[in-house]
Amino acid sequence: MESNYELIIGLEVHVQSKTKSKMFCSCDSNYFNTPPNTHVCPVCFGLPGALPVPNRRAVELCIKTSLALNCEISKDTKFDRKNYFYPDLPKGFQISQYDKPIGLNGNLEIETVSGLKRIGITRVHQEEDTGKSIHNNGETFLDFNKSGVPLIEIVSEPDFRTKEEVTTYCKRLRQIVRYLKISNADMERGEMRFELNMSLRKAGETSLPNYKVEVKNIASISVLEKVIDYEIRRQSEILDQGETPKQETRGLIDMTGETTSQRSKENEADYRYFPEPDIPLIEISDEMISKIRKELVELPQQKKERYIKDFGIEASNAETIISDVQTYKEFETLVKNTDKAVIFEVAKWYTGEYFALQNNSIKNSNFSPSSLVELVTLVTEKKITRANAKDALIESYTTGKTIEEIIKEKGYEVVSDMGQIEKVVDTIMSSNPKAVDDARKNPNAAMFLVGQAMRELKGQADAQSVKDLIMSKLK
Amino acid sequence: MKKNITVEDVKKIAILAHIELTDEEAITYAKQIGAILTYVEKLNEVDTKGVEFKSQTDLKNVFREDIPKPSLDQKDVLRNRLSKSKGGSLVISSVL
Amino acid sequence: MKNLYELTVVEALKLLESREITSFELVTSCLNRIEEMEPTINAFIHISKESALEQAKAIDEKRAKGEKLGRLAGIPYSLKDVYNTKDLPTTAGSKVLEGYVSPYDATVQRKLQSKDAILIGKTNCDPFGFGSSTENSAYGITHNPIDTERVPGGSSGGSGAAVQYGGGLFSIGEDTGGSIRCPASFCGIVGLKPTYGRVSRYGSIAYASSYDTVGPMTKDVRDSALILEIIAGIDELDATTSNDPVPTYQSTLDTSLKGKRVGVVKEYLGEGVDSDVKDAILKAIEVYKELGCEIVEISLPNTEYAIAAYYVIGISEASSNLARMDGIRFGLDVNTNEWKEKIIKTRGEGFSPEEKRRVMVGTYALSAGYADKYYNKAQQVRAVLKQDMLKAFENVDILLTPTMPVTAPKIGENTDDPLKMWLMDAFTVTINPVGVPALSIPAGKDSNGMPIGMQLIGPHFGEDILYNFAYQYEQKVKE
Repeated sequence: MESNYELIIGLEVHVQSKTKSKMFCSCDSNYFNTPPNTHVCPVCFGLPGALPVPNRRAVELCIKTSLALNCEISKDTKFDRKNYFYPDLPKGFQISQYDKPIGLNGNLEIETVSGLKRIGITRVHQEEDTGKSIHNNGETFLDFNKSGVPLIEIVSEPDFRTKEEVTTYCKRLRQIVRYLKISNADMERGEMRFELNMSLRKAGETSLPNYKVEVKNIASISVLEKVIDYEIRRQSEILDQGETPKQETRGLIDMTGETTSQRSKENEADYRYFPEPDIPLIEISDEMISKIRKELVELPQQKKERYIKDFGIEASNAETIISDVQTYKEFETLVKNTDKAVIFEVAKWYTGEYFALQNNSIKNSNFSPSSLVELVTLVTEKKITRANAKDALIESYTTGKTIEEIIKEKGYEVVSDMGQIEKVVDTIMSSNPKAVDDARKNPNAAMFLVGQAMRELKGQADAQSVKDLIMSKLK
Repeated sequence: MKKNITVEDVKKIAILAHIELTDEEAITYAKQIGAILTYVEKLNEVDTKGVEFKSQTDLKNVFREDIPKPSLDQKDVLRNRLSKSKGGSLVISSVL
Repeated sequence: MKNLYELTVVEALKLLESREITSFELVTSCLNRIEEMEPTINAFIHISKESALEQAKAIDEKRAKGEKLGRLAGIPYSLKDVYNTKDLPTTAGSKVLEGYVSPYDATVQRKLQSKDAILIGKTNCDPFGFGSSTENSAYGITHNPIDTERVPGGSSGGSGAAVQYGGGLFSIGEDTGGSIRCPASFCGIVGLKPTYGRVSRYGSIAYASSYDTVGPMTKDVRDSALILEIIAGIDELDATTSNDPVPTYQSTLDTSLKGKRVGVVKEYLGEGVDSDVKDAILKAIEVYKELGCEIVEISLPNTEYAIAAYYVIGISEASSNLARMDGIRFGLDVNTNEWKEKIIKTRGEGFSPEEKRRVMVGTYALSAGYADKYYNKAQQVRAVLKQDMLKAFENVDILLTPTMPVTAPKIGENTDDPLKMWLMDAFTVTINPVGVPALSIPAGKDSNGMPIGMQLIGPHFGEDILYNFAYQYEQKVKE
């Protein structure tokens, strides 16, 4: 990024709640890939006379999100109407929350190059989705299956200063809602969407810029990154000329991240918020909060820190493991009864060899992931060499054979009989007097003898032990 | 206090309310809306310091359980715009 | 003997159950009456002749076989055309809903159908309830059957007229600021605006969500009590319905009023009230004295602000409720397809001047920079009005007022002055922002022979009290 300017970004993230039914009616909210207008009723189609009744689970999931993001919970809350016209907004208003969002003043800590950074969460509120408009050849096709599906909106403070921070935040947020079963947050299904508020200021300035550019409806993190890049270029060019970029809402042209100014008339939004009279007030009790708090699980950042602190797992390995629910669950199952001292090694193997296998080889259905722990344990106990263990893992993964079978078949069992090793070492030393002499002068030369001995032992001994033995005999 | 509403004000409101008005209508409404707003100015005479209206109903926390129920048949959804539907979608001219 | 269409629901049920009449005869009598009266009255927007007769036949057959029937089996009724009725047109009296055929039934319709009542037709009204004369409907003016030169009141004027002349034995009206009570008063029938939350609003096309109520319009008090027992109660489709059990209102009609306290609101008998109306109310007060009641003068000091608060909040909500009338999915289909133009034209062509006016003022009252001054201020005044009302009920069992300050005006008398029309509703509109129940019952006639309505106001969920007082009065003046 141009060093002249500092990036100021705030984000609004919409997450589709994982409920069975819609926000204010009983239509099935699982609308993805269903024929148009088949998940629609008088309420979500905005027929005259239909009334909304809020979904208890959706409200609970919004509270859960707020708790996970360290928000204060509004004890007295309500729904409000946000009024505007659009063909896919059937009621002519969206039911949302205005001045009493469920969650307020929270934060999410993210990792940055300079350590942990706390991103402020302004608010977390509950609302409903609109229908879907598909534009094609001058025609717009309206499908209301998505209309009324519950959305949680998470609004951040303008705390981001780099694109990387934004990306990290979005990924953490996605992990969190998945960990807590709040949302699948599948971006390809539109279950997680982004709205960017961005401006630039001269490096060294501390006040917020006097303009803000909003870009709505960003469907993925990768497009979000492209939009940021594009806007950095666009806004800094304007600023370079001594002008101020226009405060406006810009539309996304395509997936390249390029944006365009939208007609100014559309920007003059006056949503005329007022309390939704059809829905009684909501009072969130301490009981309700503590019940939902019980549903919380260890969140990705905490988990990562615990892995590092308790097991000495390397940070990069820990990050990989916590990246998604299935991965950390498999890992935690794997190491459940494993010696603490071995876990960091298992993590290494799990995220290294094992992931590589998963990506590159076909798994035999008889393969059990516990083989990995078995192998890593043997390696740490020096009962198999690292190289042989790798081979054994591949063999087991692709053939389904047990580790025991493979070791027996291939003779991978490490020679641990020190008497046998000494015999071999003695033979090697006596048949290579020159090498012994060299090694006496220069300990590095001892590696030749170690290599010879290991070859004789067919690699099935612990190289370190062999080396130690030779060194002691050289003295 | 008399509240004046200009024809321009009316046109602005009409844009917000998405209602097509003729100039003639706008003139009439400017007068009538002005009179109405002048009348409701009297609300300011009531001392409402510290008063808050919460809700028409004393009910709180009325929820539906998260159980899906059958939706309308697609043909019932589209029945009022059958001539404007294609493949189950409602079709309008483009929204841009 | 009376014509069958003149029967009350309770009378008709007795004759049906004793097989003295059939439902087919009863429905036919009402349909004939409709045919006779409609050319001059225009109470109905839609008449379900065929289906009503079929349903009547089916019920008669069931009855002949001794099958179990619902509590209203064979009774013909009408619905104000704001209630969604599956497979039938529902217009709310507005052109913007022209051609709309609903795919679903309002809860009140579902409940009545489940009791085997027979829908005979849908009645005319001011569009979305915007009016108190039924002169604004896109489907023509409704005339008062007692004097066809006069309005039937509104907005449920079609229901008022239909019940008065016998086009069905009862009707379901909708009351946002007097829309049941005003036509009940002008047509000389009984109309109840129930407590907010007592009857489900699901399927009732919304005017002002926090005011709208669904109530019976009947020939007498007992019928009203009977119908309310059936339509009241919690509904999972309307989050604002109360879970308080529904009393059997008919069982307390005979309770003695001795020692009960009737509050007479002094502000409601002052200037602007017709002398005939005032005299009728003073007479009614005497009747209550004879029934052993104590009369207490009550003041509702902020009454003069109630109308303004009522309108600001009502039209603010209405401006939002009517936003769905955009022509995209149902109703008037203007000849353009570009979405924005379509929405603007649909509303331009589909809304009458009254609809446009209310939607625009409501839009303005909620808009940025004005919401505090109008909408929020009005809500605060509403809170004050509610306090006043609750305080009044600390002292009395009911309040007694005229329903309307006048009797039915001539058609065309007030239509050109919206403010004057508003002021006529002073005694009814003050009730809805507070949510209490109010009943209009006939209390004599003026010098022109036009009915005068008396309004009884009760505390929240005090419909049983209202019916008790109303029934005692009704029986007493019958003597």
